[in-house]
Amino acid sequence: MSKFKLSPRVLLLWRIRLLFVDLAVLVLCFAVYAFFSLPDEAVLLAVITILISFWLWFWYLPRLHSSFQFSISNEAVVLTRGVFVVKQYLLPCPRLIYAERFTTPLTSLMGLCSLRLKASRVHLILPPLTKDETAFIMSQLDNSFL
Amino acid sequence: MTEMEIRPHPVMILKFLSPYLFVLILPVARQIFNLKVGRGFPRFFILELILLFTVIIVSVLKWHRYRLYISDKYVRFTKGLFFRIEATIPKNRIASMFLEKKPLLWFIGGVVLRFDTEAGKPRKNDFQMTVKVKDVSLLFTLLPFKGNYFKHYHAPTLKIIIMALANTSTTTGLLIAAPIVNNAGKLLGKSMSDIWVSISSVSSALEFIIPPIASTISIIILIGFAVSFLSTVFKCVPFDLYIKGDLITSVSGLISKRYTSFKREAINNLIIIKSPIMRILRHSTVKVNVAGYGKHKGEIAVFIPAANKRELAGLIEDFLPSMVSKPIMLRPPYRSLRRYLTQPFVLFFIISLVSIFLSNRFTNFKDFIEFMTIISFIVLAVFGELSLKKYVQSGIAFGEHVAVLSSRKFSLVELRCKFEKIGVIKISQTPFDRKHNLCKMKLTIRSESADSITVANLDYSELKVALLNNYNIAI
Repeated sequence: MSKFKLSPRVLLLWRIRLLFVDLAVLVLCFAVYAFFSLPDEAVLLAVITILISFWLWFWYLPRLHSSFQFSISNEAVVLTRGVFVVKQYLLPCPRLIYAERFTTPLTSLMGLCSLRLKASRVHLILPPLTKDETAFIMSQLDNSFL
Repeated sequence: MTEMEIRPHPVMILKFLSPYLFVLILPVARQIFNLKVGRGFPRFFILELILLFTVIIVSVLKWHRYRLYISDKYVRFTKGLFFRIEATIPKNRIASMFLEKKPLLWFIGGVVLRFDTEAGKPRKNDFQMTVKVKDVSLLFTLLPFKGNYFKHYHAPTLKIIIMALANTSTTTGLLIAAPIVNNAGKLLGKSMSDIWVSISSVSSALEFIIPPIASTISIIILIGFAVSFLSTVFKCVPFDLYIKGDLITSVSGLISKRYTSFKREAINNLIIIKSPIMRILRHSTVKVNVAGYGKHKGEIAVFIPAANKRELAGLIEDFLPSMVSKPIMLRPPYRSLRRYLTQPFVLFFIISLVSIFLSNRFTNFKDFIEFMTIISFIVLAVFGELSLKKYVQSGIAFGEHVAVLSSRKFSLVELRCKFEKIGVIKISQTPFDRKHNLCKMKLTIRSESADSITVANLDYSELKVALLNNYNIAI
């Protein structure tokens, strides 16, 4: 059985995505302030966004990152994750149909890659993994498929 | 392993551009036309033109990066420009392959390819691409066949017409006709209300037979039914089934030719359907549950379009010998007969009471209410007949192969499958069921579409014994 934990680059990736979302919300706040003349609402929305972002950045995302555990064996793929509610997903290998690699521009730049494991009526999305880890998992799965 | 590369046909660029047709391409084209006839310089024209060129460049780049690779043991595809997807699918996991020769594409040397596995969403293919005609020969290696057995079945056109009559629905017809009329109206600057006006003028000729309101609705329903019926006929005629070794290929279509290939082992289950019209004509339709076959809107996963009992038995024995008929072991007991008769009687009284109340309350609409009541009684008669048939014919046969007879809506349905294809067996009992030692059993197939069938009013004790004896399952 091979076990994996998430690379620190994944935490950085999530934080960068959070920054993009914050930027979009702050632009919206500016638009509300400038075009709709609602300064109080715009400031309130901006403050709430910043507070939530701080909480996510310093508390939630690091804990979510450390909660991820992933293992693969000949019998099954097991994924565990969750901060408040811990969920464990078991996907028996004989039920796996195929695996799909998915990359975005940001994950490509950071040398990461997501995997979607597809079974009948269900799919399991693994968090972004390094390219070496992805190649290793794909070779393990290929052995069970072929 | 060596991989053969298949590149998409350039017509796929148009497919990537199609979402922008009404929001960008046509508005820019109209503005260029306005410029040429001297109607002035539009306000955001330059911006829209830049957007259009960007979209065209992105579409061309997406086409360029769309690839399919076929090797001995697997297929691999890559697609997407910024959001890249790459998947490797073992050939033995491919459930079906679909090729479609559309007339317009055929002129430019293109064929639509789709293939499916048991994974993925029920209404979405795992992979779709328009390929060049010269690459079609490579695609036949996607599903290699084993064995020397060869058989061919050609369905007579009359059987297809029977199937089309029984399987089409007005909803399908309305869903096909309404969007076409709506979009045509948008382009010509006409609204749907003009179409409604022209229909109501035709209906006025029938008002001495049917109440005026119902005649307008019925003409719309008939038009929908006719469109749906003709669409099904053109999609299915002519229909041929070829078996080569363990590979089954169905070929159908008059205007667009469709080839669907699948392995015999990829068949999850067989469904034999007798709709009300089929029951009158003493015919059944046989459909197969294979991932990807019959997936798209208006498509039917037909195996045998229509056949009487004797023809059906012979064809199933020839093509799918493992799915031949079995005698039913477990049927609803005599004490459950009252349940099958109660519902139609109760509905009869409810419809009568509601009809009398509404006729007295809304006297202006009396004719319409009476007409709707007659229609309701006809539907109830069909429902009553089905209830009796369900009592007589429904049941289960267990073993290595399972056969279940029941009903769905107004049709009698028989499902046949291997026991290993069953995903979940659900047995439920209401308090009334427990009192009479009866139960309801629902069987769900382990497949992409998760076909299921429910049999009600079975003897609970007998069911427990049957599950224990056949599969060593104790409940």
